[in-house]
Amino acid sequence: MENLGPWLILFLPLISAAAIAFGLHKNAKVSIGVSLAAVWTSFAIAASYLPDVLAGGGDFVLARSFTWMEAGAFAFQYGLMIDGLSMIMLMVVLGVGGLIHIYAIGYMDGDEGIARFFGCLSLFIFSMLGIVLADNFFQVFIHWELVGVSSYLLIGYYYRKPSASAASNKAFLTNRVGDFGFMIGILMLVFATGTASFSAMGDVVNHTDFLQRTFFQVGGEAGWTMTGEHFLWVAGALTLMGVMGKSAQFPLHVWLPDAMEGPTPVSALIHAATMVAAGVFLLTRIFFIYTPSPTAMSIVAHLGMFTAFFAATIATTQFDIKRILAFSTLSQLGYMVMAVGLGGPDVAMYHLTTHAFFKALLFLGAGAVIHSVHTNDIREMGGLFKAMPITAWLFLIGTLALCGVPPLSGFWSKDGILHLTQHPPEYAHNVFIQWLPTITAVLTSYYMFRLMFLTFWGKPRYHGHPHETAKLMWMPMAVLCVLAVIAGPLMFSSGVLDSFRTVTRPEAIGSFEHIHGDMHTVIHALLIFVVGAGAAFLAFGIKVIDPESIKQLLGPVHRLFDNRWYVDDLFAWIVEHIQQNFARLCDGFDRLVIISGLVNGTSWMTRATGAVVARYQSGSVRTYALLFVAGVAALLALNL
Amino acid sequence: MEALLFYVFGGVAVLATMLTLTVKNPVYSSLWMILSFAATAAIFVLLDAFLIATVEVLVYAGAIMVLFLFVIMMINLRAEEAEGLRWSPFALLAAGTFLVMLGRAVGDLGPAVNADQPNGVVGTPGAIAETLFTGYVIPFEAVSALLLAAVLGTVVLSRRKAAA
Amino acid sequence: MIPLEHYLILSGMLFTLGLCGVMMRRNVILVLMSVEIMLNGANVALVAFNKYIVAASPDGVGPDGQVFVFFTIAVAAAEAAVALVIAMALFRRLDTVNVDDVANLRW
Repeated sequence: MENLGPWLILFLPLISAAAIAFGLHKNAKVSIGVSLAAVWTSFAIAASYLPDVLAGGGDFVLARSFTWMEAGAFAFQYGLMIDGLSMIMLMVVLGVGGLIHIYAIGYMDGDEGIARFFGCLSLFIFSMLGIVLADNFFQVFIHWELVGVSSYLLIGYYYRKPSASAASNKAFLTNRVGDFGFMIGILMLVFATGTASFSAMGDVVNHTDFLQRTFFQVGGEAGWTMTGEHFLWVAGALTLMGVMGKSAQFPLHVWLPDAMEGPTPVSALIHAATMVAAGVFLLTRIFFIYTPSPTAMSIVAHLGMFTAFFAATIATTQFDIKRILAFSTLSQLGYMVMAVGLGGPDVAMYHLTTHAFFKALLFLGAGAVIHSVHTNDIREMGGLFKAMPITAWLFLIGTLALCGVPPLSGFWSKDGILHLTQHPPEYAHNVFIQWLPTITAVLTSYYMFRLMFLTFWGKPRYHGHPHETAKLMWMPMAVLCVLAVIAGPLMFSSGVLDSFRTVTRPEAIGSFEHIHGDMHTVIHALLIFVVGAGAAFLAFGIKVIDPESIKQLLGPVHRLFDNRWYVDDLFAWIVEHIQQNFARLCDGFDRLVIISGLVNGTSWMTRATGAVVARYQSGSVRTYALLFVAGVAALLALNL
Repeated sequence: MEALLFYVFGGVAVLATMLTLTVKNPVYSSLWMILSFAATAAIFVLLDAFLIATVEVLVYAGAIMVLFLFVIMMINLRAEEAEGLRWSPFALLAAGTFLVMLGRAVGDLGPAVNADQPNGVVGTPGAIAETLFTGYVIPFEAVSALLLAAVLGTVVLSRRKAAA
Repeated sequence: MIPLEHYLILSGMLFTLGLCGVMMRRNVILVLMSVEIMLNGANVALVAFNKYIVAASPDGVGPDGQVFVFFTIAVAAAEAAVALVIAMALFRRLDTVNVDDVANLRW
């Protein structure tokens, strides 16, 4: 078991996906069963390592690897590593994933492609686990791409809908743009440090003179030198592009709202809890790349901060329930990335975990509502508290967790991040870092409660007869709800958080307890909540303030938010005018020079030469005799 | 004396060969060729190759040329049909180069040959027979087989279509 | 004494004249005759070498060159016979003995 464990965790879902793809898909029930079994078995195996991880206090590492291929001095390893950090992600991915598998049985019931759905889900679990368990950069990259493929398949699940297939294309292409930078960053790092393995590279960066090493100089001794430190921040910035693509940071965020075209379980699993968190996980894994360079850390922090604020502003104008949640996810991801940038990767992972619980819960709840009312538009809902009480309560608790209300889990993690923003390191000491995250938190409360008021309270505006959700669907939601409530203190009291702090930030071990015991922080959180939710209550609850008049007041600002800050339009313009014209140029070159010139030209030349030479095949014996003699004479002349 | 004979017969041989190639009438061509062979036989005599000289006259001039004449007459080759030589400067150039190269090769003979001192070989029938039937008996048999094959071939190929 | 080179030049000239005949004659029969001329020239060379060769063994030089000539004459005869038969068959079929008219093996 010792040897086989990690491999089983990783490959059981793959086997399930392969089995479904290669024949089981004919039988929906069997496919569902196989997929469920794979996920939960992997969870069980992973959980069996939990005691070891906790006991080892972060020093426990279970690593297995083999050399996949070698080319000269370079060997590509494929290996699995279970340490504190990957353990957290394993629990999140497999646990939340498993629960969503169960939910999906109810949600997708009756859909004709359900076997395909579960096959794709298994594929996704495999790909994601590959990222989590990887011990070297290339492996991460392979699974990074695999996750992109799985996302593509799942977003485009309703492939007959043009908007869905367009959205899946958009997701994949945006990811590819990020992956381009990612690959360059990886190559830079691997060839500068001579290794692709995380642990080995960490050693090189931290324990050798890598940072002082000179890479090249411009302008001689007195000019500018590129040291290891500079190199790292360039490579780090490029690698960050991959994170931007996968975790949807600005400006590569454009795919996430559109990804809501996929079925809700997909939105919950991939675009809330796990895949988008992969970027944050990666940043934590390779944190040692960023720490030496304040510039790199600053980039990460400010990028996250801006994304968080930007997404929150857009969320205040949306009417599609899933899109509100999507922008909320974007915003929270921004928080996580910012936390890493401010030197707190453990806080970021903490938030990632709690976010996975309550965001998945919210999405599943939204799915239940959509299932019930047959519309995504919150303007056509209202008063659902009476019609679907269980769902409504669960959703409310999830919302409160997201808004950071104590003592729910969201409070612990979000406030940890806000604490970082109030005590930032040197490079991030500016007014934006101090205020924007807090303002964003207020906005978060505002738009979530706007959603609550328009959906669950007030006069019913829906058509038809919504019913309470099926048991198969609200049971997983309930589990998530419990987790969303207790995950906060559970995490650091169980030592899970500390177990990976040893790797990333040893000085922070045990540091949360003293923050959160502080009444100051509790009041801070409650204040944010009251301001935000209160504004929503005034506008949508008791309707004292008219949202319409506010909209008129804010005019262009509102338009900016409503149109998602015109980023999508900018990209569309760039693609249409710059990229397409360049593509036409390349096409013209290809047709003219390469095809007409080289390819056709070669064949023309061959034919012409052949025609010329063929004239010598005259069939005339005399000519042959003449040539024969001439040849002999020439040979003799040359040799005698 | 010998030199004179050589130049006379040599000249006749070359001249006769040139005339073979240039006259229009194929029958005349054959006759000139016979003269060429006769001169060559004389050269052989100068080289003490008596049997070969005789064989040359008997077989070459006597049998082969007669065969040629038969065929020429059988297909009624007339002077108009033959149309003589087709002058090709390129062919002359090639042949000329060839000859020049041969000349250069001749100038470069190796140590196995003593160019000024002929040895005492005499090609009497006895001497040739002794060499032929002891050292070269297998090629002899082979050539016999070849001749047999040629005879058969000739017989088969000259049949008309109606034959069974 | 006539040096060997003279004989060889004679042989060469005969051979080259035969070569010219092969390249330049238009009649198949006459081409065959030119081939015979070439063979004849070769024979002269063989006999000449035989006369001037240096003895390799103490037994002296045997008439080996002349034996070769014997064989070449035999082979030339056989070849002339068969070639003439083919020429005749050609004439019967195509009613021409012009070399230029039998250029069927072309591209």
